[in-house]
Amino acid sequence: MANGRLGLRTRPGLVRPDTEVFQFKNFLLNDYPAYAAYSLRLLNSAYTGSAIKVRRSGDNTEQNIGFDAYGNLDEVRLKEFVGSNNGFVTTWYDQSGNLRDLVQSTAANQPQIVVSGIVLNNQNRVTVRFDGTNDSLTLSSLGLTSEYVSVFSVQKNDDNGSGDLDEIFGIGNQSNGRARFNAIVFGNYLSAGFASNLTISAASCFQYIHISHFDNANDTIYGQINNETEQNASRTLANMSSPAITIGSLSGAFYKGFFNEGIIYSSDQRSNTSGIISNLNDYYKVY
Amino acid sequence: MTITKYIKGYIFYSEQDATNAREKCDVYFGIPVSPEDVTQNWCEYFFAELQGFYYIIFDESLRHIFGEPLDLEIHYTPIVL
Repeated sequence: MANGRLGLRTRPGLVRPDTEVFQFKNFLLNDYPAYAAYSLRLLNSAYTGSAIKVRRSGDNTEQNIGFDAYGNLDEVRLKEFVGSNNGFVTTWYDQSGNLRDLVQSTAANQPQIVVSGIVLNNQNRVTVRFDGTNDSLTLSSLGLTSEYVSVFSVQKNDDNGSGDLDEIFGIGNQSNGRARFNAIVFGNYLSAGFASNLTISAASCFQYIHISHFDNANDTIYGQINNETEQNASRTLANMSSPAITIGSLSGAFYKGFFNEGIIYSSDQRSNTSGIISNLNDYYKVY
Repeated sequence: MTITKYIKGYIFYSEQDATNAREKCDVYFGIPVSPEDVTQNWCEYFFAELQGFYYIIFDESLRHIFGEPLDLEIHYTPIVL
């Protein structure tokens, strides 16, 4: 089987025919190499690093957590390390091969992945929770200079009535304007900055795939949820050459919800959208 | 446009006071465990630019160190594309 893995996983206490067959068909980045990529599944067959680094409460020690034989986050290792404590993500490693890791050096601001020994889970996939108060992960030197940026993410907002529902991805900094990516807000808009321009269908409170394409040269944005119809609008865009990327916060606002995966491209991926979201949906079963 | 955010937290009127408070937390919780760790501080302070003070957002773990938090109104100007 090219570019893939095939495996069997047996539920504890059960034997066939209740055995689940997991077919890890495609490594997303093998087909669609990215500028930066963060996930709790293995995205790149050539990637040999860890998925995340986790700090456990209790003694506050840290440890890298990688993937299991099926390309999922190694939950066994995670549970062994964290035990009955809480577990927090200090580093989300970039699987693109470009070493654009996201970090959070302040304990109180680290998103959570284990609560009292229970690994956070959304639709049978491990997920990371941002608390809407102060949680974020940041890379201060993204170095993105492209005129065209495409961003894909899998996320689930906590609720749809709070001002805390703001950006999950932000690129740039406050001094030169910051592009807001993948930011479903309660009004069913692409982001607060685009609210008057671009309307997309309801997605709040459900897990969804969010797609944003930013065409700086033509001042146009394109937004899409899952496999629904793409929307677009004219908009003067922020400077894409700004240096930072943040998941979870922007300009004093914090995202409240779950985040599974985020992929950033520094090139036009509109023609590849169908293939990319198909890969995402095969794994996450969003729609 | 200014947005007001209502939070619980602790106010400091100089950056030195905020830094000292952060260090107090680090000592209390033994952070960093190792110099190589990613985690270098227990909590972080923020600057309320429009109001001219520093603040630390409340977390249950901080109650032992700083006592009961205050109800704070933080004003900030959002970035709009």
